[in-house]
Amino acid sequence: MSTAATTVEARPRSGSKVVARLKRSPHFLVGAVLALIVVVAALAAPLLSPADPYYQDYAAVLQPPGTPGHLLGTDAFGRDQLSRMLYGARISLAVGISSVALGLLVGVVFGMLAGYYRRLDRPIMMINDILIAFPGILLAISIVAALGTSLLNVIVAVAIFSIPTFARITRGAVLGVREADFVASAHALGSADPRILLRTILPNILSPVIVYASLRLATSILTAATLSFLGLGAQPPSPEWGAMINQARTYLYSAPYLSVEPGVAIFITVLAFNLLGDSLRDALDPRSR
Amino acid sequence: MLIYSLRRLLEAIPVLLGVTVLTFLILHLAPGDPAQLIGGPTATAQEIANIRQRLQLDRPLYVQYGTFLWRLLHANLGESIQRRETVLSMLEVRLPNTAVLAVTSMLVTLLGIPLGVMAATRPNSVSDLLLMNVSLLGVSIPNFWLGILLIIWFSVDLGWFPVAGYHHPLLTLAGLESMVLPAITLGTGGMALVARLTRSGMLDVLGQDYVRTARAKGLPERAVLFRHALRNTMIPVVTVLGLNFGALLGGAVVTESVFAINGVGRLAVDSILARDYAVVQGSVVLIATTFVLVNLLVDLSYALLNPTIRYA
Repeated sequence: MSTAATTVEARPRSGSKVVARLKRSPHFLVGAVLALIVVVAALAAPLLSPADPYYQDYAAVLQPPGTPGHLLGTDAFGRDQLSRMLYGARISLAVGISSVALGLLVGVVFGMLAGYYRRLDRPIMMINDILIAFPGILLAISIVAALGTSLLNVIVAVAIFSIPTFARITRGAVLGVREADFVASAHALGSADPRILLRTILPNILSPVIVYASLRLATSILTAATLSFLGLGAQPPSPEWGAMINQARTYLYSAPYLSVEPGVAIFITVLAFNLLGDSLRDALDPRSR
Repeated sequence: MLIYSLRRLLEAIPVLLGVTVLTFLILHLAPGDPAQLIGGPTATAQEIANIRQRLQLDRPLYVQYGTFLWRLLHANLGESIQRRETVLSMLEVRLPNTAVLAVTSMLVTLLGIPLGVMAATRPNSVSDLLLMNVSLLGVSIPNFWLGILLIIWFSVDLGWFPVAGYHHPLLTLAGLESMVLPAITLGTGGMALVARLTRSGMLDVLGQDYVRTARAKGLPERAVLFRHALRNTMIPVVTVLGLNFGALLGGAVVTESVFAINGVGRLAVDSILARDYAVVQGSVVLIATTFVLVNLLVDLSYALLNPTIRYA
């Protein structure tokens, strides 16, 4: 219901009004600045990194933060922590964006089919309900269990875990516009179903999907980091943040900064996309605040 | 109400069946030969054939699923290939620890309700802004990292709480101390979410006529807030609590690993890493079934919270 309402609400609201709302939102500004920092760190990692993230210097193991040449210290293999974290931003963003994109694509297709074709609604939504019946991380863990531990499988697992909600939101939005006059007009003009779905319905249901995708990015990055923390995702020596925290657990007494630093990076990234998603939702549908 | 309860119960059956189908398929359609995995790299062709026959892996998939379901209905979840122990007995030992973790974390989550009410009574005040911004941080913090931070501060630095594990018996000072950090780790995200939701629900309700009437007739503010206003904001809160229970069960997998608690979640992760599929299957089915049943209870509780809800 609310998603359908969002779609209908979103249509008449002009882009400039949404931008104006976003500009007035302190949460959006903070989120945008934090997200920009993470994106720049990821893109410019080779330029900003003081060392090769995989280079092991056994003469400089477990150096504390502030050591000359190692601003954030070094790990148990003498690898520069700052360089590893900068490269870790690349992995986290790549995993987050690709898993959301994959989940969105599949979820939107199934959601549109369920919303548009009544006979497909029940079977698709039943499979959806079963997928939703799994606590998210557990579903991702089961999929990784089946496919094997690797970063690529984490992307697939996190994408599958996103599909049911994308499908549900899309279906709700399609139901909201399926009987609208502009869809009836497209039918009357003799448009084929695929054309109606892609050209007429899809542009009108995108705003709730995009809002959810921005929020989902935060969840996906967090889930991927969690899987790597559990040893099910990126494997050593990958500088993935969750995997870095997992490896640092052995040094909680002697080098707690090894656990704290990548955690701050995950926290800032997740917070940034949560803030962006929240403010985007508020700007498109002020009643949801 | 009775008819509605029965109908919801019947509706849960296909979902539960679906959960078993999905769990079965995920693990059986995985690439690689399970018999080879169980036998190990040194197993001979004859040994692998024997394993395949013993575990009925040579039968069609639907027959294997039928056998799995039949055994499941008879509480037979198979045997662990790693420990030569039945999956059921392994789960029985670990389930109480996971249940304690879930209940104590839920108590932390419920603290979000009074916090949300507090924020709503003084909207846009310093305490409201502080509470809401802190709750935003709470939603974004990775719970495994929060657990590690709590261990560093409260166990390593201050020595207030044990670093890992539950101390049995739990109803002793040492036992209760061992439950604090895992409960905070797992409950914080939910508490933040519930606080935000309670605040926005209360803000909607506090402007309603019946709240004004309650105040006009001279009821104490506490009664207005908790007896009249809060009750009407509880449906979305209870829904989220139910959904959050799923996140809580999933989060238990992580929290149990951080605090080395011998629970069902940690068993699932350890079994995945050891490729002990019968145990993975048993743990996943148990957690997912609990989640479905909790959501059923949440649905049924709506009618108790709001008698005006009529179920067709």
